[in-house]
Amino acid sequence: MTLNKRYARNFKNNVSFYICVCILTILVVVLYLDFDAAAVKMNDSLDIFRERFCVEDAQFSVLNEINDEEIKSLEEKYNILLEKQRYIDYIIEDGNYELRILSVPKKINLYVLSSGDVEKDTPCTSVEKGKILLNEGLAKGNDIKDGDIIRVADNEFEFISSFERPDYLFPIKEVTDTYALKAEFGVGLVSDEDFEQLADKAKELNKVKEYYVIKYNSDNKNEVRKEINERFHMLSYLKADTNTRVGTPKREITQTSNLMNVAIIVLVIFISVIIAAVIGRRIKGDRRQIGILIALGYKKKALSRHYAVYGLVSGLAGTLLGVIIAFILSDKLIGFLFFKIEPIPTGYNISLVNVVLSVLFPTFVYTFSVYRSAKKVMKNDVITMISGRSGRKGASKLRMEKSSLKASTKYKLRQIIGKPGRSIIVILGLGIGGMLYSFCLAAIDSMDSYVKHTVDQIGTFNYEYFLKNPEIGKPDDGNAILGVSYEVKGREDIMMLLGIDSPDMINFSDPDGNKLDFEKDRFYITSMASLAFDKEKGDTVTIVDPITLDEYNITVTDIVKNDSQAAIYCSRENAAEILGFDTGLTGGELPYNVIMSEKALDIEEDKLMKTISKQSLADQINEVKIGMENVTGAIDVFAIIICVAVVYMMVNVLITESTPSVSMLKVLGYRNKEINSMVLNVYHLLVPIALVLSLLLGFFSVKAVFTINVSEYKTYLETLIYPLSILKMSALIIASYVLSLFLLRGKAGKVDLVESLKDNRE
Amino acid sequence: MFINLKNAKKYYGKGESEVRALDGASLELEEGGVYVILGPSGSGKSTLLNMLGGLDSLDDGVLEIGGAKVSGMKDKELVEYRRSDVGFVFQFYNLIPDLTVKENIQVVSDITDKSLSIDEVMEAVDIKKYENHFPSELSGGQQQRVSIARALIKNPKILLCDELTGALDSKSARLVLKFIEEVNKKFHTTIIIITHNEAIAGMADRIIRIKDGQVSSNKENSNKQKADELAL
Repeated sequence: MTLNKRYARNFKNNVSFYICVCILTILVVVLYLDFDAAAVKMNDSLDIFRERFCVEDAQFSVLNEINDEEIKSLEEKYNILLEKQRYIDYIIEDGNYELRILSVPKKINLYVLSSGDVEKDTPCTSVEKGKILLNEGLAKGNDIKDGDIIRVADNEFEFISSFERPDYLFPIKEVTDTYALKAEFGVGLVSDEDFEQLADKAKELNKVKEYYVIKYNSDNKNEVRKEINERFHMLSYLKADTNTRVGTPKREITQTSNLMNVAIIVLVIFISVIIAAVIGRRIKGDRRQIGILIALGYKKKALSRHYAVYGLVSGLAGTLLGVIIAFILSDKLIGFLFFKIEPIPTGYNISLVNVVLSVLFPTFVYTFSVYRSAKKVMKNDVITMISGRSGRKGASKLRMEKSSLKASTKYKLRQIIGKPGRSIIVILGLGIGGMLYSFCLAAIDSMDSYVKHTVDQIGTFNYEYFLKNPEIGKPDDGNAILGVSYEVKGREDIMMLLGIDSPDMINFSDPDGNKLDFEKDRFYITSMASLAFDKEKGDTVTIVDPITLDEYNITVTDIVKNDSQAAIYCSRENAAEILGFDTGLTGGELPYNVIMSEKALDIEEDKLMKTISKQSLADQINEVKIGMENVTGAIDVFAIIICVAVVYMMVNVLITESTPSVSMLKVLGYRNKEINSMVLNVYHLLVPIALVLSLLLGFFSVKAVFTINVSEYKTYLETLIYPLSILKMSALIIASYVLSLFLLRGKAGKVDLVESLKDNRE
Repeated sequence: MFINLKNAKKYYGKGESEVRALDGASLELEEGGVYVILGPSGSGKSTLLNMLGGLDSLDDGVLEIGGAKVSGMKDKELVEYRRSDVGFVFQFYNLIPDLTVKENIQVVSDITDKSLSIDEVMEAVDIKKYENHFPSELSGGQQQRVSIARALIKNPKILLCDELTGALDSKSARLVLKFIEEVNKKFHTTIIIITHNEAIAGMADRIIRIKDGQVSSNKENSNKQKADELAL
């Protein structure tokens, strides 16, 4: 059909507009395909990894060793898997990192090579003598390559490959750590023979740590736990759900998947609808040609189909390019999304269903929108269409009779108020783009503030020394604390019960800053525990002894401001009572197993289980902040593309729809600069609104994420955004806005003043 | 002479499809007169108006208006020329739909330093009572009067009217021409009207005829009529 020759001409004449449509469509497809593939695939792969490689259900330590025969008998009796696992920590001087050499597991927490595939490979249970495997984060973080020699306690091992274990996908040294410092700490595997050799030497220094891992196969957990405790005297018990190393990857992937499912889908629908609306609007500008063609005898159906092709071609071009780019970028985006945890060895395939969906959805929406617009235009009678009057509802009839504003300002106001659809799209385009950026800035600023200020608000102490065995009375230096981890009934997290003599090193005030009185027989929970476990003053918290499974009900007396630790504070006497400690045996002296101190103490290493410094809390959040800063660059690019493309398209439409007015202004002697100021700058007034919107959207999204992630970060981060960041975000949005106007600056100048006058019949 | 056009040429297209819109047209007109240019479709009337108004440039020849050589002007100079010296009235009014009557006039007043009083001009063409109406709320005749007011507000040296009554009924057309006549008297503006309508020529000081891109005649109207006497 001759009419089809218009396609090529139309695309050629509006090439910049269609490029914009393509770029936004590509962005939509890439975001949808890659992020969805990453989130869904990682979720599936993690489940497969955990199941096939037999991740532990729990780990525990006992006073009396469980020998191989006893293990076998327990396994048979309860249909469980039980395995003793060991590790030795080394400081690797050559590389300036800490390395935990793990014994090679045979039944639980089996490993896979990083080059393998958790879905296909058989779990590994051995390592070649003289060789060493390291987790990928450590190897990459220290630039360790195949064949490099790793010196561990005077033994040399050849690095042959990276590996991953389902219990160390979040490779932190202590389970109380928040962030995996991948270059500073990692795990390694050597052959059984080499491990025994290392263990023999380390035994002398009491450095070999032993624990048991268990895998249940039936609903008899409590029975098993009770028997093990009775027979072997359990010292600690940590469920996999409350074990940060095991639980964090699942939480991280689930949360990201949920976020992606909502955020990406919303973004995809939003951008697709914007593009559809914009392409649809352009068709309205063709009303005279449509009228002429109908007058010539063309059927409305045929014309609707003709115009629908504009949407179809735009949709297909953008989505197909998007699919290609999505395949190219998939690996990088997946790493970008899950930078906090170790990569799961598997292939990332974008699903065919998603590819089809990502092509069909935008293409359908664009095509339908154009088809509908064409049909709507054709509802007018032919004469009205030919005269060019149809569809010209004009801007708002806001008269502003008494206003002393210039005519050009009134024109702008009417364009904004009279065409709300256009204005809303501009606000949302800038708002959503800006939100992506403000989200990052608010998250970074909140973490920065935490690192610099919030962490200090929890008190004046700087160190908490956790002892292996409780001691009686009071330490020479520091404050005595009786601290025990409890499970919270009905929840997956654990909470510390801290028995203290006085809160002199703790900031003992309520969340409003009012000083609280510390009294015996009263239980105070931290503000973070209140948030994490949804408990308020007067509520009852049921804590469960992880070893004996005994339950205790505690009524919350008050809430203490502390956004960094989930803990219950009570008197040391109360804590001892809960623990069942008989003070009669110690002459009334109370036990303690934690020393809180403002200065570093010299405590014998064999007495010490672990040390938590206030600085380490800050350091870990700081690492999250650095990770976030690293991804901000990529988010900036997305934000700029969305802002520039949306504004470009809308101002482009505005100019096209205002062509008769632009032409008339030229005839009247307006200079291009003045025309641009009147027509191109219509949306200036919307920029501050978009700024406020993006700031609010970003701020509250961060607040929501921090609230949801309280258990993962083990701290509640107060959301804030620095004035400098507001300036940065404003600059980015304004720069994007100015850039899109700059790109369009010549468009008004190109309007033909003679030709458009011929069309200008009001 | 106020308007001096010599051997003006303007060709569109090339080869076989070449159209000689102006092909050696020459014309001399005094300041302050009312001139009607007549000619059949395709004769070159609109091209001539575009040249006089600085909307387009000659390929060859000379055009001087009020002592200024318009034919050699660059785009920026043409903008300044249109801005200060020329007023346009079009057949389809070409008002900006998103501005009220008063604002359509103000939008020109804002860019000129010799603006007349907006109220005075609105009263002159009898549209003061519609000042806060939008163009779509007015009849064709009323819109054309707004268009005249907009053209006059900058007190132009020359007012170019392209088929200004082409879209109006005879009653409205007579009223509009009456205002044109009054404008000429009151502001001493040179007025050039391009039309198909022979009857309008009755109100001209001179009647110019165009044919095949050339001025075929330029005669004084010895039987000048008032606008309300025209047989429209």
